[in-house]
Amino acid sequence: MNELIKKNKKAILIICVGLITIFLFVLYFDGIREAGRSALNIERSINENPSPRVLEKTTTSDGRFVVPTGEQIPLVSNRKVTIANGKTLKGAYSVALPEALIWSSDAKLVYIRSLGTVSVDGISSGWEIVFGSKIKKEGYVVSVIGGLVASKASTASKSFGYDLPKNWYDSGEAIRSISSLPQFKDATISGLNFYYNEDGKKWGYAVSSSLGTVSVPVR
Amino acid sequence: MMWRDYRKLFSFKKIMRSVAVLSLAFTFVFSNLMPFFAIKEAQAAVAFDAATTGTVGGANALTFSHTVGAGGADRLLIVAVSIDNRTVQSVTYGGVAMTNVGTATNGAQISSMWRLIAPATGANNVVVTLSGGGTDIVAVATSYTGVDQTTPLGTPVTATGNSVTASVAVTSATGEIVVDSVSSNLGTLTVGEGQTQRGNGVGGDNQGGSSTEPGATSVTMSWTIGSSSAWASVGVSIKPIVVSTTLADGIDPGNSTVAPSGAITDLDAFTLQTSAGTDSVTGLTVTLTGANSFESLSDVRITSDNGATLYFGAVANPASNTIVFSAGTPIPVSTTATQFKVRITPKTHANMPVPPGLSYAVGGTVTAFTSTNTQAGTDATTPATITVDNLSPSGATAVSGTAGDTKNTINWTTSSSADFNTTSGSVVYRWTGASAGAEVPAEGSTETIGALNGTATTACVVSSAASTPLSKIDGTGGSAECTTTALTNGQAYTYKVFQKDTNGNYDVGTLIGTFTPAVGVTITSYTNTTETALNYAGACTGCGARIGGGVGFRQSITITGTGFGADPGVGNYSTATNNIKVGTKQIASANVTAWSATSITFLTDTNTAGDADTDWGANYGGASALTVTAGGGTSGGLNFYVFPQITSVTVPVGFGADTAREYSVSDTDGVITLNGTRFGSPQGTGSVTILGSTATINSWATTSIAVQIPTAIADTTNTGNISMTQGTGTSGKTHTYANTLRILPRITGFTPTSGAEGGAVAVNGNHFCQTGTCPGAFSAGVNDVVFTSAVSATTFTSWTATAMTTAVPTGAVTGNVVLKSNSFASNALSFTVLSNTPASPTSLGQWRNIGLTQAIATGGVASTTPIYLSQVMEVPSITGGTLYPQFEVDPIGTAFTCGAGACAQATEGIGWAGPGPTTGTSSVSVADDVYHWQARTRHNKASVDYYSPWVSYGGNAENATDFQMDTTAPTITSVSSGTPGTNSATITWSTAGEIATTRVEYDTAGTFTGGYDCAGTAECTALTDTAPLVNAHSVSLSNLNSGTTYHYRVRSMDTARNEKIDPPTGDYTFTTSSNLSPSKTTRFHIAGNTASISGASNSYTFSVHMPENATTTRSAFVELKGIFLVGGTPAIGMTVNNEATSTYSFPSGSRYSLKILHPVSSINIAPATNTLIIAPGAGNGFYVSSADIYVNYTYTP
Repeated sequence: MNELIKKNKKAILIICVGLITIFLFVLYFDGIREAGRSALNIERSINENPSPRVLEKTTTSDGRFVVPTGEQIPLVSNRKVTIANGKTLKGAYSVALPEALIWSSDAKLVYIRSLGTVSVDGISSGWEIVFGSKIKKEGYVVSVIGGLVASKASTASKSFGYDLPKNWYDSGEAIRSISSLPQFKDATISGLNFYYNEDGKKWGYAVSSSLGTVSVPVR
Repeated sequence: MMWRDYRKLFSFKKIMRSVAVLSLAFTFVFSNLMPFFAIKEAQAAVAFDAATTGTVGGANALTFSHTVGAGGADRLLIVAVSIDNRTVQSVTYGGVAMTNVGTATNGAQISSMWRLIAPATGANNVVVTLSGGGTDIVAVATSYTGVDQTTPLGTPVTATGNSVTASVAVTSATGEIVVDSVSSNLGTLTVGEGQTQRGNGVGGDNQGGSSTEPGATSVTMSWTIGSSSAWASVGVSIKPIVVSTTLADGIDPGNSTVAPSGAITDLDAFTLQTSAGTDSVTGLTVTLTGANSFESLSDVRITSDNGATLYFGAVANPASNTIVFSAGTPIPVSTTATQFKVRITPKTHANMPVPPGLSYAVGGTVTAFTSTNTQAGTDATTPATITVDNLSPSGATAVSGTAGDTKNTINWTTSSSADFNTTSGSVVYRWTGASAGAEVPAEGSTETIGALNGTATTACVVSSAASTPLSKIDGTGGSAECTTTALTNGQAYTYKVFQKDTNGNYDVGTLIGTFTPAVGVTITSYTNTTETALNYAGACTGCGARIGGGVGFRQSITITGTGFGADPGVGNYSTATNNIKVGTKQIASANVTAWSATSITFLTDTNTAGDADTDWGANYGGASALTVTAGGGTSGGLNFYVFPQITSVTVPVGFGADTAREYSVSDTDGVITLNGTRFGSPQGTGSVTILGSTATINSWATTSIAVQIPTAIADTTNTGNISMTQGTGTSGKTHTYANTLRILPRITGFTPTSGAEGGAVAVNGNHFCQTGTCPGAFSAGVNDVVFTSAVSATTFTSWTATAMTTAVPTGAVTGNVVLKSNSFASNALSFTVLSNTPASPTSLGQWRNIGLTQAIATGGVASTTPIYLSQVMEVPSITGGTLYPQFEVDPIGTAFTCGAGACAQATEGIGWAGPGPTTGTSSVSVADDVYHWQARTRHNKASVDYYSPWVSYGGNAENATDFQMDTTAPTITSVSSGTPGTNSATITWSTAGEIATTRVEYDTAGTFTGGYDCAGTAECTALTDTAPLVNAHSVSLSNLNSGTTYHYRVRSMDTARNEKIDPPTGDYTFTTSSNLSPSKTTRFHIAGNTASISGASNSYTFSVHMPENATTTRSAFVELKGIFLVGGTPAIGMTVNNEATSTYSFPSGSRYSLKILHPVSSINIAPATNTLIIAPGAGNGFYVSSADIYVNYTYTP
């Protein structure tokens, strides 16, 4: 054995140096996430397929309540989380709206609720878009999963929808407006709604965060 | 050298100039200096008054009359005496002794001179008295006026000789008179030339005379005798009276400050006065104090006190601090002290030394003067100080400036000097060009705005206080006190500011700098296109912008103006030369969206790197905060305030967006967090208002405020705004959150705090009417109250904003209650639902009496019926019902039959109002037997019965006896007293079939009238019950009297305390046997517990008291007990009453106990005594534990 080591002394040395280098590389770039040097975990993709919900009835105030869905995503992190086949809230709305208009020409939005994990970019794999119609005097729930309409069904509703603000900003902007504040440095989000505040007659985003429900008005 | 050169050298002008210079020099020397050399005492001439000559021959005294004139003052009398061969003893005038001035003696010839100051005027006798005998006497008396009364004479001189001429040389002076006295014994005296003979006489052969001659430096007084003769002569100069002129301090002016070019000012006051007569001061010297004071003066003069009369000539522009006055009108002096003035005139500003000048503290006094009279006195040594202020004020400081469009803005802080001139004190010169010229404001001048001074233009003349920061615009839109003429763009202008004091002195000026106006950066306005209410307007305070993250909250500001230059290009909007600033905050380049020469648009996006809220630091904008830098210039600022912005609100986890409850310490439902920007920190005067009520702040940071929802919000107001006012470091701007907050219902409590099903309960709280109108009925899921177990309330009594009154629904259990109003759910608050079912009874008891004081032990026996059963009943917290005790009693072997519901077999006591705990009882009548029983509580509430579980007594099993009923006393049979002895008897009987107690009562009377235990019967003896209870009873009676009949009865009581007495009435009897000499054995104690007995014998004396009389001793012995100790002879000797000693030996060995029975032959009965002697063997010892004597005797009972 000693003879073998002596003969391969140089090769062993090179292998050892190489292993140490790899170890240090991993330790440096991946060992301390908060150091912002993560080279091996720059991005993490979530691939999920949430199920649509069956709603017997809906109300406007339902939109105020954010149901935590999916994972809790840090608002501030060096490791970006992406949602495979996800869409932003407005993107999902644009997919659902044609279906709603087919259902009823006067369909108006009542609220939108995330069904899956929501990234800090405001992207989720699933959205539940609830419309209302004065003509039909009922609601219509369109679930957009993976960017496609996964289900659509009427539901009892006394809310027939509300006009949307012009050029309303998307879900990612709503999240960024709070992530830029220092008090949310260590917070996580777990769901997002687009709701109508009947009291103030204004739309807003409701973000389920580890600090509570954060309402972000839309002007 | 050519002639023309000499001509040049000795040109007429030069010669004349030289002559003039020399003339001035001589004039100066003779006019200014000579007076000092000429100073001498001023003296009046001595005047001759009168002379009288007296002679006598051969006498020793001469008397003659001399008359001193009455009109003269300062008189002196001189008497010249000529005698021979004698001496003058005395000379008197009018009886007043005169003083000898000098005596010259030449052998027998004597000349003697005498004087008297201030002799009496008029005719008085001169008496010359000689010592010794008589002789020839010639005396000449001369009197004078104007003589110095202090030192009237000079140094007398004597001379003698033998010649034809007598002479004496006297030192004298002008104004004095030299007088002499001469004596000779031959010839005829003829006065010398130039002398005035005042007397000449002959007395016998003695010649005498006296003469005078005006004084001179040296005066020789001589007489021609006519033939050679011995002579003697005395000469002396008579000095005239001295007259002086005195200088003194006047009433000096006070200290003051005068400006250059100021009016003539009094510097000093002095007085002059003669001691006699008048005088004339022809020269005077004033010496100034203060370094170089003379440099500040254009004129110094001596005037009368009122200044109307000028003496001497005014000295113009003095060349030194010593100023000499001579030529011109002299100062008249009289015996009246007269005040004169030294007056000065400051130089004009123009003639003053150039800035920076000095401040001259001018003082001055008269230090010398020239007069006829002697000069005396001094002027004040501490004269007034007149300050001639030629000192420049301190210069301006903090100078700066900026170029503008056809204008320049110049800034400075005015002089800090105390005498800074608040009127036109700042003068700004402007030079066209890059440097300042040499021009300065004329000292003492007042500049005019726009005036020219050489190449300088007076740009500003500003009045202000000292040490005041000033900012002035020169040029277009110029400030008041500055020029308003547009400056030329592109032309450099250099500014210097001068400061002037109240005396017209300017400083050397402070260079402000060079500024080049240009078509500069100018902001004329801006609009906040996102929130137009914050648009700029002149002097606005409600203008500016909010900053926020992203398109939802950032604001867009468009600045309009000029000179912004060409678009610097993306990424170059935040450089040193192109930028937008709000205060010191430079907007990030990425937030600038458009840039043209006249318009710039930027965003206030805190999501942009560099423009986050933290990057704004303590910057909240303010007046003139918005500036644009471009093209090398920076615009002036426009008011721009950074407003707060609530960008989001965090409500507790699980809450709907924009909802919360009123604050309560019990949870966090009432704490929300306002998120946003520019809140200012710390809170300071900042505040948050929610639905119109001021909120309590939990924490405050510049981007986060945690607040409590005020409980002061009206309970009928459910929605409203959140607004906040900025905190510390801000301008106190406000913002109202964009959305509306809803206050959700909150249950705060219940009335009552707990209740049973069906019981009324009020759910208390706030904001119960979310629509603004309170519900009139329940609506599941919309307006309802749900108890735990998902049981909704069904009783609708009332519903207000603060209370919903209902009833506890059936099926509700203790747990949370939630109220919903218009589908908005309240908090969950626990309500305790109480049960109507009573608790299991406790403290079960069985009693013999109704008072529950005689308990029946478990398994115990009762002898009477009924017995009483008890239990403690309770239905916790339930009121309004009635509690009933129920019991089921069954004989052992019979199972309980009652179940959960009503039970007819149960015995029930009377009811008690709930909720208890209370004791319920019931009587139970049973036959003699053994029983077990159980109990429960019935709760009747609203006609509904609720039963507790059954509880068996003592938890006993059904086959265990709880109690026994026994109402029959035991049967007594076979009562017998057997065969009584002489002193005893044994009573026996039987209670076959039932164990019972054993008791005998007996006496000799045969009456048992009392009750139990012989009570009430004097002779009765009762024996206590024996134990245990038995069927066969036997009682031994002792100590009975022999031959006596006893009555007795027996008693037995069973466990149920049923007693049988036999016989029921009357008694049994027995009689003891008779015995006349009975024998008894009695023990008497002798000793015991002794210490170790060893060595010598021990003696114990004892007595024997027989209990009976007439006893006969049958036998006796001593019983000795003890412990024998090891060693010595193991034996003890004993004897009583000196009987033969018996020795008792013991085996050797270890210690052991011993007992000796020692027979005694004879015993003495008390009162005689007995003696026991115990003698241990040699070397042995033991302890006596007891020594008793037993005596057997007979007696007659």
